[in-house]
Amino acid sequence: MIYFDNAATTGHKPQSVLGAVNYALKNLCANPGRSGHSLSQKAAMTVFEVRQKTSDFFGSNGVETVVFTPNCTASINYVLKGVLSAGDHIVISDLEHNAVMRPLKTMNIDFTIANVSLTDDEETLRNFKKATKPNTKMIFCTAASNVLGKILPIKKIGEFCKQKGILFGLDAAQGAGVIPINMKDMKVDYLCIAAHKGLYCPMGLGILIARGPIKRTIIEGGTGTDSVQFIQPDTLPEMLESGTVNLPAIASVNAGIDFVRKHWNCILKHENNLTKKLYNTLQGSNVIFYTNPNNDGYAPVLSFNVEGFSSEEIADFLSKKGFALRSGLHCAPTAHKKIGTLKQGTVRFSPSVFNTPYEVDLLAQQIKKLKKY
Amino acid sequence: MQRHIISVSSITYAIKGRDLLRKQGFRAYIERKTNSNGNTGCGYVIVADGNRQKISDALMNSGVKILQINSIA
Repeated sequence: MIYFDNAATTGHKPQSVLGAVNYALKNLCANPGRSGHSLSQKAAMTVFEVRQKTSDFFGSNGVETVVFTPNCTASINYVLKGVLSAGDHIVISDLEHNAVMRPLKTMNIDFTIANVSLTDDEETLRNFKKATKPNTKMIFCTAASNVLGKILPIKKIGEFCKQKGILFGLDAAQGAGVIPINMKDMKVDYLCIAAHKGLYCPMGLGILIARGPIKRTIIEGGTGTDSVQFIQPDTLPEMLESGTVNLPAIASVNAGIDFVRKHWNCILKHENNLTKKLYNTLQGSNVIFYTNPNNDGYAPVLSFNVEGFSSEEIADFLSKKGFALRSGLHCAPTAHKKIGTLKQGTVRFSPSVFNTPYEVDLLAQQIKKLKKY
Repeated sequence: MQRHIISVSSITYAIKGRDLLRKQGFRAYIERKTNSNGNTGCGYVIVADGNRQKISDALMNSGVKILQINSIA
């Protein structure tokens, strides 16, 4: 199977990541910060080192800001539900994932959707500014759309938030490890990460980096700290880390970040070249694209359809030919509403640094054959 | 030289505190707390040698909240 579904999870993990997971399972299987014996301390030290490296890599200001969660969706929930209260207003983009939309609907929080221009970042910024109200507590948006690949003008939005005293949260599920993200430079208060995507770690690990305040928790329990008290600790990271953390996955984050750092100059370039190649190869065919990856400001995510077929039919055909691509709405209906594909969805092509131009040629050949299917 | 047994809120702060004290030239290490003494903190303490005020300031200035500090001559 040739895997082009890396926006869902990176299909190929670096050997160093696999080695780190294996090492942790063999040598670090103790509960960090709990039991107190030497193996537990060794595990705790590993977790600490990962917090340090993660904080440094994403430009945060301390190990304690790095919280390990079950996934990026959990990280987003911790932010929205931990910060917003009744009477608050939030601005989000029209490219958000249901990880943002559903918590806001559940909380019954007043929100305004700002339109993201696919070609003009200044217009996007103006739309965010216009969408704010006197009681806007937070702007929360995706770093890069999981449907269209559009990278939002993060730094400009962050600077606006800073000027206005508005908190700024970022869903970096598609961005972390792919595009440059520095919380300090970009004035990001909350960064939500899917470690199993751009950091190449196993599934079951999300990261929240919280430079801003978190008022309340949504899960309480044992933290290995202040155990005599029934009141949940109020200091990060333990405040948000009740229960045993996913040590084997956490232990692999350092290897994931090292891999990204080592290949930083080629990851985005290589992956974008692959999306451009697919787009350019299929020009003049019956394939419909919704964005042009030849333009600047796009992460390597390309949605398409083929005239006369549903997105599911296309992905099913390709699966039978040995290609893994995702079809449907990708849990982001607002993005599909924007491009008019709410009914049929799209097929999403999302390569990784491990894919090759030759594999893209093979995929393009099969897509061209679809009319004969 | 005085030795100080410093309780902090979590293992994260214990390691952070130890590392920053070492960077500032203090001898410091982490030890499992053997006397629960009210069960505050994380079950670990930072053991540090040096001037109590300077050690306290170093920790507090870096955001490491001290829950308890006991000094031994």
